[in-house]
Amino acid sequence: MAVANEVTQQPIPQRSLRIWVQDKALSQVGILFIILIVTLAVLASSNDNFLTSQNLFNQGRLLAEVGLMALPMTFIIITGGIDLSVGSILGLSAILVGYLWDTVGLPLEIAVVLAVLVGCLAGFLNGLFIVRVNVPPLIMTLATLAFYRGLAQGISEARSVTGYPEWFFGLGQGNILGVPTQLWILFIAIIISAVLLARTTLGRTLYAIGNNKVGARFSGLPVERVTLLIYTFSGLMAGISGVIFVSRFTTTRSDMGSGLELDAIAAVVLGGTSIFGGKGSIIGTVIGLVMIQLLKNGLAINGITSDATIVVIGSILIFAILVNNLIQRLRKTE
Amino acid sequence: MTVPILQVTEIHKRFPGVHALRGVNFDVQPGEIHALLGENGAGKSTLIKMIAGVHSPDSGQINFDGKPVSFSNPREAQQIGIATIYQELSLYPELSVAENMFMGHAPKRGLGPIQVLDWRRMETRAKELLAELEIIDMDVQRKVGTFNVGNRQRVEIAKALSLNARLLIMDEPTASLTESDVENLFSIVRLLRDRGVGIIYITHKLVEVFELADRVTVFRDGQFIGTKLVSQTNEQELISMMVGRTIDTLFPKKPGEIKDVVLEVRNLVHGSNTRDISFKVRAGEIVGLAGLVGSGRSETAQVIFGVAKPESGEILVGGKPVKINHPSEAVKHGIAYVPEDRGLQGLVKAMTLRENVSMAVLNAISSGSFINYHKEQTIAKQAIDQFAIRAYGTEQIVNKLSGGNQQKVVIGKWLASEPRILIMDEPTHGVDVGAKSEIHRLMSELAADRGLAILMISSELPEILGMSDRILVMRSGQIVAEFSREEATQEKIGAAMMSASGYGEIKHEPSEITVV
Amino acid sequence: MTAITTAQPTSTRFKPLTLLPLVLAILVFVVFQFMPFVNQPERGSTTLPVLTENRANNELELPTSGLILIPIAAGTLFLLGLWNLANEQIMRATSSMTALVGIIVLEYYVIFVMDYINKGATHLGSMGIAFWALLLLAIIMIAQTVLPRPRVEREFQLRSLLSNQESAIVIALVVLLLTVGISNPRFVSTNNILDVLQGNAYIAVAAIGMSMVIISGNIDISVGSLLGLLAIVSGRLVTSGAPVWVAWMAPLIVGPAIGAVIGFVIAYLRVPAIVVTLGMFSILKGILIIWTNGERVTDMPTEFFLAQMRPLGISMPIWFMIVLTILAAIWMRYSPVGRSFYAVGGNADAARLSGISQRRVIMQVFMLNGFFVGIASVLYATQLTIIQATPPPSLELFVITSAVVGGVSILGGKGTVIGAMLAAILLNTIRSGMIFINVSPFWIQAVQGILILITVLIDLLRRRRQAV
Repeated sequence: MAVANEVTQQPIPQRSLRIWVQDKALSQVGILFIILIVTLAVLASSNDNFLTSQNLFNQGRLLAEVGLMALPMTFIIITGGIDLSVGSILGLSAILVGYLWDTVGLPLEIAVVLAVLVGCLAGFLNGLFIVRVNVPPLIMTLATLAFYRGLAQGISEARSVTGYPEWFFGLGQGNILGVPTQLWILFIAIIISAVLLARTTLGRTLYAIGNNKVGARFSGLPVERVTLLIYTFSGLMAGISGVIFVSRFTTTRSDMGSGLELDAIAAVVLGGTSIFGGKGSIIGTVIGLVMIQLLKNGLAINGITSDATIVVIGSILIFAILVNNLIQRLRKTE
Repeated sequence: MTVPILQVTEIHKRFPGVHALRGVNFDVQPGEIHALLGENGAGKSTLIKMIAGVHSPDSGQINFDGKPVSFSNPREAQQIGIATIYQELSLYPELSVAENMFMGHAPKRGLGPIQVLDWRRMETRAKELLAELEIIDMDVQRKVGTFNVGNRQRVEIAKALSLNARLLIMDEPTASLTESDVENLFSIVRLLRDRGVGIIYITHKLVEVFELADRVTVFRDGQFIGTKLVSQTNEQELISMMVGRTIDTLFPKKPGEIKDVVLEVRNLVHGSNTRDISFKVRAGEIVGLAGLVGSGRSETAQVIFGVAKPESGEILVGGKPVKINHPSEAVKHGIAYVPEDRGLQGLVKAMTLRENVSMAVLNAISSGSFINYHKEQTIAKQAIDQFAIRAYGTEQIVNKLSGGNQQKVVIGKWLASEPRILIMDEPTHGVDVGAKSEIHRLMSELAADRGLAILMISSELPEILGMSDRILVMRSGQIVAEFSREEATQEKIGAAMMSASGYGEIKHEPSEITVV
Repeated sequence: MTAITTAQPTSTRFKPLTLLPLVLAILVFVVFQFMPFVNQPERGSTTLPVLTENRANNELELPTSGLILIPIAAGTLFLLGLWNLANEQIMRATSSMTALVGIIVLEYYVIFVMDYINKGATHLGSMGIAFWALLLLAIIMIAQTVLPRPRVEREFQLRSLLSNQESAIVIALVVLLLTVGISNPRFVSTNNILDVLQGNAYIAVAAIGMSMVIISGNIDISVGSLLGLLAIVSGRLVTSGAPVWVAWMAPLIVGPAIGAVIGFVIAYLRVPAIVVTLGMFSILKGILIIWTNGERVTDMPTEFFLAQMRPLGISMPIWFMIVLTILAAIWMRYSPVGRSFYAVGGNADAARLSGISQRRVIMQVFMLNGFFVGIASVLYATQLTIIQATPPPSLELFVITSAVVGGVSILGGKGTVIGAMLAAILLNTIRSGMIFINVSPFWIQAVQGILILITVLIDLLRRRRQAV
């Protein structure tokens, strides 16, 4: 059926390895990766304690909760949306673990499962209104940030719950095969998310939505269903993080997770995902995540308090978008 | 002849992949209603945007009131005295009528050393301007958003007056108006004309041209076809100017066997654009759906495809009634829709050719959810070969492709889904001659050899006549005529496409299809 | 020929009969000054007659401050009536004035009668509610006659006066006061109400700036951190020897400066507002914590405590709240800059065509926001003898909720600062009310979240219906 036309005989140019490396290296992810290596080197040389497995695993523990939430956040931001309520959902499920176990008297396992389910439900509610009622994601998740946090505060009434059984701390403070438990969970989540995004129909749909939602819909992609799914996924991850959080901190407090949405969004944006949607990757988010944690670690080692590091994170967030904008503008002119 | 208020000479404008305006010459006299006629994509909007200062021409000149002008932004055009009223009105729904009219140039008064807005004068002046248009009891303090479209449009026109517009451009102003609103609009436009304002009136409705305009200019495919005095032309001539093309761009249709009914639509209703539509399409058959823009063809097609839900009526695929609530369901039933708006509805421009071609069949080429890259690559290469797509390869970003090649990507995408029913909405619009003929050949083979049922929406009569086995004509949301291939002629179809007012005479001389 | 509406235009001819209510108002005013049968004041620093009753069982007392307000209100109404006369808005002004004066007069009579017959506390408590509610309603009515805003209905009607967001808030406030007041009368004592207002007026001031930001189509979730920081700046300045007025003025300069930075990053570097302010929230909070090292600021000289002053018997924060809101409302109505906020928030493309630069508006609005946050921070800092080292928790949420519930559409282009002030008062009253009926105040944030959600949904649905 081919029309005789010599144009079609043109071979598809093979991309040489060199061009591939060059392209990747000059992207935001590439630059970040290089900075990451450099930072690792600097930190390792300035402090003996840094490269110990104990320190590294500890850092891993600290970044696990944000990491879990940053994964669905990547999906959401790629579609051009945002989820500001993840910190509050984390707090809500953390509180629920304590409440259901301590006040209601459920067995801890059930309490944990229910708490995670509530997280799921919270995310689902976000997605429902965003898809069905067309509330802009920014506004919906801003309102639920207040609402879910409020629920958490109301339920907990600022009392903390303590006295969890030993096995529960295995989640947040224990190890499996020498590696912290939550890191295993994070690894699995990263792999699943990365595969989903890069290799499945779901991932392709996400990129399509972020670039042209109408066109995606007209091509038969299940735009509404996918959007609902990613917000629910975000709630699920926040719920799991909440449980891990409690297990790590050994108590539940009503302001847990407050502000973590900042860290999650910063990690995603730093990793090269455009805040305007359409571009991004899990590997970028992971690098962004690690970078931020390294920064926090580096600052802490040098005696700067953890409170002050939020200045750094906030600045990184803004800076990362600036750099992203710059790169995109440079790319357009070439 | 007085100095024209606007003169456009040899304007060219290219966008990536499309030569939107080719050597356009056009002028408007003060105190004239000059209609701009042409199908979608003919270049009217581009020309207007250039006059309004949104784009600059690649070459050519624009003269306003005898002097050459060039605008770097729309505001400069506005300040000279060119006012534009787009279809999406440029108003603030939460602010009052008076404030809408005067935003940015509101009357002020001094209160001590400060300048404050003079609301009273604003409201008085707003009432005066409305009165000039013979609108006497519009509450100027009322929120603009609470008025219906007709009234809102009047506010926009009054706003143009407030800016002392000497050239008023109106882009399809009657698109969402009721009949009485249309009458009101006409009186206002005539009023303005009598006051010496030059008016460019863009429309695709012939009735309006004959009722309102002094002169009419026809566009087609970015080219200026001709300008006529309305009193010296008729509907037939205009239609043939709008849609007529040379016969030799058509590919002879392959005859094939027409079998059973694959798609049946019964009493489909959706809004005012799809009113009780019923028709059938058989396997191996090409049904041409003719009609002017706004007759409801795309809307009907989109209802069938699941983009919008019908209010009532049935759709039957293969004889069985189906409910299609989403395009994904339509695809499952074997329906494919090559849309009219290629850029927005047909493609994801930032993505590669491969990703676009596979977009409708992602599930089919995946095992589980995992996309099989090998299969994807194969499909993409096949599309390139099959349709002779001029691209650097499967990884080409489709944004950079020409209009014809982009259309081939869209067609390739939908054919990959192996549909039973293929709806093509203006399939060769904005496509170069070579690609056009390839697409026609393809359609013919799809129907004859592969037994697809094809519904082809087109505004080009030769295309309709050349490709269709049967022709349906839509007008104002209803099917008003049906012709078989043998009995159809351009005149009959053209007559059916026209408004029912019986305006103008249908001449019975054989008309020539000419390219001007 | 083209009749579009069939309403009669409002007559602008002068009608002598419409002066009658005005005359009545003057008479009432005069009479009340010199009523011989009203009790003479037992205490209080004014020579105006004071209505008091049995103080023994927690009953309501109309404070001297309240009694000064009434003649002032009446006098203002009178002047406004004159002004509106000149502007041919006779019908509206006199109808609203008449209603107000009539109700207030009626209330006075009832109180007087009750007092005379020596009725129980609850009745008088409710009277106090009505009094304050009507005062607020007066503010709305005045605002809507002085600052007429785009109408939804064809003509000015009493119904339209009552069917807008501001009136809905006042009605909600009255209902709230009544229901809580019945179960716990102390809630509606003027002392408590004034306490609530005074302690939280700074939130209403911050809400003025936030309203402007949201009206222009942006958002700022860093207000809490900014306010906390500015408060410390003020406190530190005064404790390190700077003159008190410098300590008061400094936040008014630093605030807009920071606002300018935020505005610049949004407008010129094209970083979305939500992200910039999200980042700034942390940056400012961090700077605050680093700078203070967690130490509170104490030992400020007594002249510093601006918020504790009571000019004319009314607490200073309340003055600021009301005066600033009114000034801001007038400015938003009468200045081209103020209107440009509505334009950019309502339809940025149309605004550009009208010659309004979105970038300039963003800079302006965020600097203004910084200014109002600065004022709020001074009120906050001078309220108690200690300034905390941490910003007031969830303040940005409270302020945003105030704006949104007050009628400022989160999608931009719509809303008033007066509505925001009233909503701030409502929210604070809810918070206080929760304590009084023994509901944990920890639920207030959940309530806020629901309120935002409901208000946004209603707004969205209303817009969608209108777009058709």
